[in-house]
Amino acid sequence: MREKKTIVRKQKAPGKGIKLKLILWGSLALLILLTAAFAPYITPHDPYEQDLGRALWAPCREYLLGTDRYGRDMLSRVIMGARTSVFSAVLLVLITTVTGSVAGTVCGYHGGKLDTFLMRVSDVFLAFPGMVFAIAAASVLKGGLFGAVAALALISWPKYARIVRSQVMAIKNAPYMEAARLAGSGTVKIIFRHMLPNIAGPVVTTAVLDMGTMMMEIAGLSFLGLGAAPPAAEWGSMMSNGRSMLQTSPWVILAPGCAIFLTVMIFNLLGDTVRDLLDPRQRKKEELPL
Amino acid sequence: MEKILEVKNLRKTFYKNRSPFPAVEDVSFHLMKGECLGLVGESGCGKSTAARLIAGLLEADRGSVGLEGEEILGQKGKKKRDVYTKLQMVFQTPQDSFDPRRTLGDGIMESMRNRGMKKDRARERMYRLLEQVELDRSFGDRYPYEVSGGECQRAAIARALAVDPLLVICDEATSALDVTVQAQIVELLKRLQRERKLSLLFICHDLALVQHMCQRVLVMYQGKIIEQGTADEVIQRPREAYTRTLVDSVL
Amino acid sequence: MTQPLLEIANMEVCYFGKPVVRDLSLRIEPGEILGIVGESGSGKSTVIRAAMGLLKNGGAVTKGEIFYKGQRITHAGDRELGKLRGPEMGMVFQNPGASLCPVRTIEKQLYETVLEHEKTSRREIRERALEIFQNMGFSRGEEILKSYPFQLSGGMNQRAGIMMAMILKPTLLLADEPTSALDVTVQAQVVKEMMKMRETYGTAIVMVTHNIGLVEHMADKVAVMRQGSLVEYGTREEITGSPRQEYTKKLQKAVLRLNRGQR
Repeated sequence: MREKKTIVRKQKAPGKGIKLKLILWGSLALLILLTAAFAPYITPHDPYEQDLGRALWAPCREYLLGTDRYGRDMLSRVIMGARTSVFSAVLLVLITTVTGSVAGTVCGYHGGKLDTFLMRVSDVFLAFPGMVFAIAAASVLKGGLFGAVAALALISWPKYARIVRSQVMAIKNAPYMEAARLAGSGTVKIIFRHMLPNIAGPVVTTAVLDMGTMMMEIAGLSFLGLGAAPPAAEWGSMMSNGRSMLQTSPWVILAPGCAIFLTVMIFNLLGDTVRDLLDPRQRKKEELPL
Repeated sequence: MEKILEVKNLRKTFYKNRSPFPAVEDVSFHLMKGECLGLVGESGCGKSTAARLIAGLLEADRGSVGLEGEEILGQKGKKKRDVYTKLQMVFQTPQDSFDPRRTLGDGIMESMRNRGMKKDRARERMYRLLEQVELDRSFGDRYPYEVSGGECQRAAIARALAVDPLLVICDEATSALDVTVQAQIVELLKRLQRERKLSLLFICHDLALVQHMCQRVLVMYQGKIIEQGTADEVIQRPREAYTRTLVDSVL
Repeated sequence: MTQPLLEIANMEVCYFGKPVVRDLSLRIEPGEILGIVGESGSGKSTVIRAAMGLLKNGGAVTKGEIFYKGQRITHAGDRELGKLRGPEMGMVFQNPGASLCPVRTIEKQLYETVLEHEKTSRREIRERALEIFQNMGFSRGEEILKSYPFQLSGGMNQRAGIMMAMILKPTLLLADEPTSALDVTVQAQVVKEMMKMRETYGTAIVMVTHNIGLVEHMADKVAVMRQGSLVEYGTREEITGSPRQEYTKKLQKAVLRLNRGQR
C-alpha cells in the first residue's frame, strides 16, 4: 500500500518544476542580455581609461574586480565585454539558424538535385574540424570580430540545415500536410503556417543551447587574436591578454573567465529547460494514460 | 444519371532500391453522381495510392482522371485549387490529419479563408458545419489531441464539407476507430450523403462495412482492379478466387 | 472445486489517483478463453496490464486482490512477476511492431527471450519456433525469423509476437487488441491461429477487444466493460443469445455483419 502512494505523488504535477526552471534561467539570461544592452550606462568606471599608476591592483572597494596591466577597471571591462561577447553570439546564432533553416526547408521540401547539392556542400563543411576551418576562414577574412562571426557562421549552418531537413522530411507527408493542400493552401502558406511552427521546437532548443557554445567559440577565436581587436573589451581577448599574469595577478584572467563560465552555463540550462518544455512527450505526460 | 468521376488507365510505379514496384496498374472505373462506390482490398494493394493519385496528392505516371468531364490530373496552381472545391478527402488517422498546433476550427476554416471568406462569416459557417456533424460548437476551439478519435473524425468530415464538394474520398476513414464509433461515423456519412447528394469513393478493407455503405464495389488486388459489380453481387457471388478468399475470411 | 488460473477479486485500479477500473471480479479457468469487450477508455486494457504488473506510470492497484494459481500477485515486485511472465503468463500487444526491438532480427530477440527462462540450445529454440508456426498453419516461419520487425507487415509482426509469447508455452495468454491494427482478412487468420493454440497447448486466453463480434466468435466467456465497471459477465451463449443489458445490445448492434445471401 505504501508503494502506491509514492507513485501517485511523484506523478502529480510534472509540468510545475519545468515552469519554475524556465522562469529562473530565463530571467538570469534576460539579466545578462540587459547588462549587455545597457553596458555603457552601468559601468562604474570608463572601461578604456588607462592609468598605469594603478596597474594590476588586486580587487578592492574601488575596483571590485581589480585592474589590468594598463590600470583599466576589470569590472567595467567585463560588463562592457558582455556587449561584444553576448551580442556577437546572438548575432551568430541568428545568422546560422536563419540560413540553416532556409537551406534545410528547401532541401527537405523540394528534394531532388538541389537537395543533393546542398547536402554534399554541408557534408564538406561537416567533414572539416570546425574550429580549424573557422581559424583559417577568420584569418583570411581579417575582419576582426565581424570576421570571426562570419567564419563561425560558415561552419555552423550545416548543423541547422540537417536538423531542419530531417524534421521537414518527417512531417512533409503527414496527413495534415495533405489536408492543408486539399484546403487549397499554397506551398509558401503550408511552409509558414503548418510546417515551421511544427518544427520550431528542436530548432529553438538547439539555438538556445548553442548560445553558450558559440560564445565560447567567439571567445576562443578572440583568444587567438582572430576576433575582437585589442583595445575593445571582449572576454576571450581579455583572457588572452591576461594569461601571462595568471600566477601574479589571477583576477585579470579569472574575471572574464568566470563571466564566460556563468553565461555559458545559464544559456545551457535555459536550453535544456526549453527542450523539455517544447518536447511533445513532456506535454503528453500531463494527460491521463488510458 | 451522369458520371461524376471517370478514371482511365491510371498507373503509378514506385522504385524501391531501383527495382520497380507497380503500386497502381491500369486502373479504370467511374463513379455516378450521388453514388457511394466501395474500393476494397488488403493493405498494400494500392487502394490508398489510387486515392492519392486521383486527389492529386501524388503524381501519376500515366492515365486520366475526369471530374465532371474535366481533366484534373497534372493540374497546377489555381486550377488545382479549384479542383479542391469539388473534391475532398477524409483520412484514416483523424488525429494526424489536423495540425497539432492549431485548433479543429482553424482546420475547418482554412479552405474558406483561402477562398477569401471573411473571418466572421467563416466562423459562423464553421459552427454550422460542426452542428451538421453533430458536434458541439466548443469543439471549434479544441486541439486534435484533446478530443477522441471519433470526434476528431467528425471534425475532419466537417472540414471536407466546408467547400460543398461533389465528391469525397474516404480513405479508410473508419478503420482506426472502435466498432461502436465506427457505426456512428458510418451513419453520419450515410445521412450526409443522402442530404447533400454527395458522391463517395469509400476505401475500406472491411467487406461488411462496404456492403452496408456502398451500392457498387471494386475489388483491388496487387495494383489492379480484378472484379467489380454491385455490392451484393460481388459479395454473394464472387467470380474471382481472390474475392472469394476475401469474403470467406470475414468472421 | 478446481482452482481458477487467474482470479481478480474486487479490484480497483487508479491512474493519478483517479479510478479507472472499479470493483472488478473475474475468474479464468485453465484452458478457457475470456473476451473482455468495451469501448476505448472503458479500462479493459488496464485489467490485463494490472494482472501482468505492467501498469503505465502513475497507475496502481488500490483495492482488491489478484491471484495467479492461488498465489497472491497483487503487489508483487518485478522479480517475482518476472518469473511468471513468459513461462506462465504470456502477453500479446496491439502493436507488435512497436513492442519488438527495431534493430535486431526476430530470431535474435527470440533467443534472448527464451534463454532468459530456460537453458537450451539455439537450434532447439529455432525448431520449436518453426513448429509453432506450423501448428498455427503458417508455412513461412523461416522468413519471419530472419527478418527485422520493420521488414514485416502488421500481420506478420503479430504472428511473430504470438509465436514469441507461445514459445515458452504459457498457461495463460493475455492479448491486448491483438487484431485491431490488422486487416479483416489477416484478423481472421490470427484469430484462427490463436484458437489453434488453445487446442494444441491448452492455453487459457484473455482477449481484450472493442469488437464484440470477434469475441462472440472465439470466447467461452464474455465480460462487457463500461467506464471501468463490469456491465455484464457470462458465457458466450448467454451474452450472444440473450444479453440482459442495453449496453451489450448496443455493442452488438454496432457490429456490421456480412450478408452472404443464400449459398
